[in-house]
Amino acid sequence: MAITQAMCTSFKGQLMTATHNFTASTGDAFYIALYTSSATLGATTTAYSATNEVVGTAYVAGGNLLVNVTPTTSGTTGLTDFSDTTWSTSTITARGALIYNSTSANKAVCVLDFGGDKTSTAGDFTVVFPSATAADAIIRIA
Amino acid sequence: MSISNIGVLLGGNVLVHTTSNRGFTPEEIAERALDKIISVGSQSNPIIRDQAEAFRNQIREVLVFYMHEAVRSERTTIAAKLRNAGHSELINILG
Repeated sequence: MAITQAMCTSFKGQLMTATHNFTASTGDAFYIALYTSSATLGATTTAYSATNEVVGTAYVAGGNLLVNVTPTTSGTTGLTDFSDTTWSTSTITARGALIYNSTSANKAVCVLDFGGDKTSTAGDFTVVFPSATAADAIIRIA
Repeated sequence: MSISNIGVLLGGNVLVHTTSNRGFTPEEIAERALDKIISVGSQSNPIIRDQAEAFRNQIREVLVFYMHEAVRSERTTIAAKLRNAGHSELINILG
């Protein structure tokens, strides 16, 4: 059992069939779900599952709805981003996360490995996404 | 004609920030905001890097000041709601 950070392979194929729309407000609804270290997630993950999802105060199964940033380009790179997301007043321990598209049958987008257990105790648990640049944006086509 | 490799890439570092028995301070949130607004590469020209760092420090002060203002204003709103609900004694614990 392990969480391996990866862009899901199924997502790469679905980009070519216009399965996902990252446009802000009018696009698809993307969620981020948190998982314990018991979860098995990686490039072969194809959809959201509640197995080994975090259970904790202020955490609702399925995770948080993400705020999309409309895709753009920088130089020769296409990119999209999400706003940071927070579980407030939460008591949570998570080892990783899955971003998935709830509009499209909960299809997986990417797996995030936090590198170790991260814990909030009656506090805030915030996932901070990298800057929306050609070098760092969370999802890029280069 | 040349054909370039095209990759679908997962981006830079995703960070997780957590707290225990409190929320984030304006100073902590300001640092996150600064990372979105301006980044200074370690390989940058030293003169440009110094200017960028000076700009970053100025922006930090503005962000922190107005975040404290927002916190104070929100506490005023919460205090008003508590008072209107008949719980004036709870206002003192807001600090």
